[in-house]
Amino acid sequence: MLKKEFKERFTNFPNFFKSWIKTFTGGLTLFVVLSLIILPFLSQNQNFTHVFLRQFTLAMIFSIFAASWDLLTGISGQISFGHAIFFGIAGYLCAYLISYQNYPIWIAIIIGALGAVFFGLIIGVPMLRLKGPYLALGTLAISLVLLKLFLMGSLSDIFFGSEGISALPKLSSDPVVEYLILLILMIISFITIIQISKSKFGTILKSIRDDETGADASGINTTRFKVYAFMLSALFAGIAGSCYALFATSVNPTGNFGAVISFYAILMASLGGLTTIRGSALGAFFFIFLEYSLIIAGVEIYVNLIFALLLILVVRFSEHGILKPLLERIKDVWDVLLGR
Amino acid sequence: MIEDILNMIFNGTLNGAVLSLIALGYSLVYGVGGIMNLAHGAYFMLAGYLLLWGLPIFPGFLFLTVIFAVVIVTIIGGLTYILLIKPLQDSHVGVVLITFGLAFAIEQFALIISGTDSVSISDYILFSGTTEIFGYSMANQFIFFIIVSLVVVSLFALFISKSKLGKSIRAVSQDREAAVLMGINANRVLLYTVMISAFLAALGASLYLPGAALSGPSMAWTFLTSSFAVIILGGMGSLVGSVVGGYIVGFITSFTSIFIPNGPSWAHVVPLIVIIIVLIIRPQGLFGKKEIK
Repeated sequence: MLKKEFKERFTNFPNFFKSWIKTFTGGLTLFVVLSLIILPFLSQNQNFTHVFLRQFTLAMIFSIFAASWDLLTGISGQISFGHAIFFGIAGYLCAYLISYQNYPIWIAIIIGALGAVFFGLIIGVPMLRLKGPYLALGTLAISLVLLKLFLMGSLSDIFFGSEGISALPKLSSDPVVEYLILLILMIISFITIIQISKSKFGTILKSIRDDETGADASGINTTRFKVYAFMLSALFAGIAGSCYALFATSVNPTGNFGAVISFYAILMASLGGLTTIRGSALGAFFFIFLEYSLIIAGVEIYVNLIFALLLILVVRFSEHGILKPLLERIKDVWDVLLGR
Repeated sequence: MIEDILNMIFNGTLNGAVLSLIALGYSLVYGVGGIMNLAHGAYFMLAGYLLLWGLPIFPGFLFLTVIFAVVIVTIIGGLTYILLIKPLQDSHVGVVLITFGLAFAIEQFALIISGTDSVSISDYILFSGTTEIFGYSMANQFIFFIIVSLVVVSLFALFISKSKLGKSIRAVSQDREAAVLMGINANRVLLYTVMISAFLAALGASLYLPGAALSGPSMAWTFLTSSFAVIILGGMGSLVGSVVGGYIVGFITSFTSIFIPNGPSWAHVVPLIVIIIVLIIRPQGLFGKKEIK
C-alpha cells in the first residue's frame, strides 16, 4: 500500500512541484526555506554566527519536536503530555553512547532516536486504554516519574544522577555547519511528517482521532495504528532529543526530562495551529525568539509564566492557533499589493 | 520492626488522608462535568504557598491567613470554571490544554516568588508536639489532620446525599440533560462543584502542609499524579473509590518507602505502577462503571 503510493507521488513530483509553487502557501514556504538557507552566509560576525544563528538552530530542533507532538496529538488525536519522555530518552541514550561507549556521533543519534521509538512502543501499549484527558495525564505521569527516577534518590546514581552527562561534542564545531545540518534535518522531517499526514496512513490516523468507534467499526485495527502513531512520533521526538543533547553538549534530568519540555512541545504546536504541521515550525521559531528577547531584556524568570499565559490565551480565544489567521492576513496584504 | 510497622501504618493513613481529600475533589469534578481539571494539584500547592506569603500579613492572627488562602483558592477554582472551562466545554483537548496551561502558570508564579527550595510553614501548626503509642511518636498536627480529613469526608458524604445542592450535583452527574429538564441549572451546579473541589484541596493543604513543609512548586505535579493514580484505582467518577483508593495508594506508598530496598526512590514510582497495573487488570478501577469513555 505504502510503496505504490510513494512511487506514484515520486513520478508526479515535478508537476506537483510546479503547481505547488504557484499557490500562496507553496510560494511562501519556498521563500522561507530559501531565506533560511541563505541566512548563515549573510554575516561573518562572530556574534552573529555563534549566538544569533544558534538560536535558529535551536528553533529548528524544537520545530521537529513540536511537529512530532502535532503528529501524535493533532493528527492522531492521542493527547500526549509527556513528550519529554522521548526527547529525554533519546538525549540520554545518545549522550551515554558517545561519552561512555565511544560511538560515532551519527550512529549515536540514530540509536538514540530508535531508543525513543522503543519507548513509544512500550508506552503506547498500556496507555492505549486511556483516552483523551486520561491519556494526557497518563503520559504526564510517566514523564514525571522518569524525571524523579533520574533526579532523586539512590536509584538516580545508576542514571548519572542530577548532574547528568556533560562534555558532549557538538554536531559540528562550526555553527554554520550545525545550522545547515539541522536545516536539512528539519526539512526532511517536515516533508516526511506532512506526507504521512496526507497519505492513506494519515487519513486512518485522522479517522481514529475523529471517531474511534467508527474507525473500529470500519475494520481498522485502531490499536495497531495508535501504537504506530506513538512510535512514529517518538522517532522524530527522538531525533530532536538527540540533536538537542549535542547542541547543549550535556544532558541532565531537568533539562531533558522536565515537564517544561513537554509543555514547550504543546505550546509551540498549539501556537502554530493544532493539526497544521507547519504551524509547529512557526510556533517553535516564535517561542525561541520571544524567549531570547526576554532573556536579553533581563526578565528571564518570567519566561515560562508568560508562555503559560500565552497558551491559555491561545487555547481560549483561538483554538486553531495563530498560523492560519496570520497566513490569511499576509495573503490579504499580498493580494492588495498585487492589485487584486 | 514494630516501629517500622507502626511507621508504615501511620504514614499510610496520613498519605491516605491527604490523597483522599485531593482525589475526592478531582473525581467530583470529573464525575459531574466530565472535566479533567489538571490545575487541581496546583490549587493544593497554591494554598500552601499562599500560607507562606501571608505570614508577614497577619502576624498573630494566622487563622485569618488560612481563611484568606482557602477563600482565594476557592475563588480561583470558580474563575477557572467561568473563564476557562465553560467556554471550552465542547472540546476535550481544549479543556485539558487550558487547565494544563493554568497549572503551569500557577506553578511558575509560585516559582518566581519563592523559588524551588523547600520551605517550612510550621508557624501554622495548630497542634505541635507528638504523641507516643507503643514507643512510636506521631506528630499531633498529623493526628489532627487525619481526624479532620475523615470528618470532612463523612460530612461531604452527608452533603452529597442529603442536601439540595448535593442532590443536584448527583443529578447532573447522572444525566445532565434530564437534570436540566427538571429545572436544575447545570451550569451553576458545575461552578459550585469546581469551587467545592478547590475548597477541599485548599483545606487539605492548610492542615497538612504546615506539618509537612512545601517541597517546591513542582509538588503540584506530584500530587496531581498521585491523585490521578487514586482515581484510576478507585474508578473514574466514583467518590467512594477516591477515598478508598486514596488510602490504598497511601498505604502502598508508605509500605514501599519503608520495606523495599531503596524505598524512597521507588515510592516515587508507585503511582505509575498502580496506574499501569490497574489499566491492565481492571481498567474500570474498583468502583467504576464498565463503560467506554
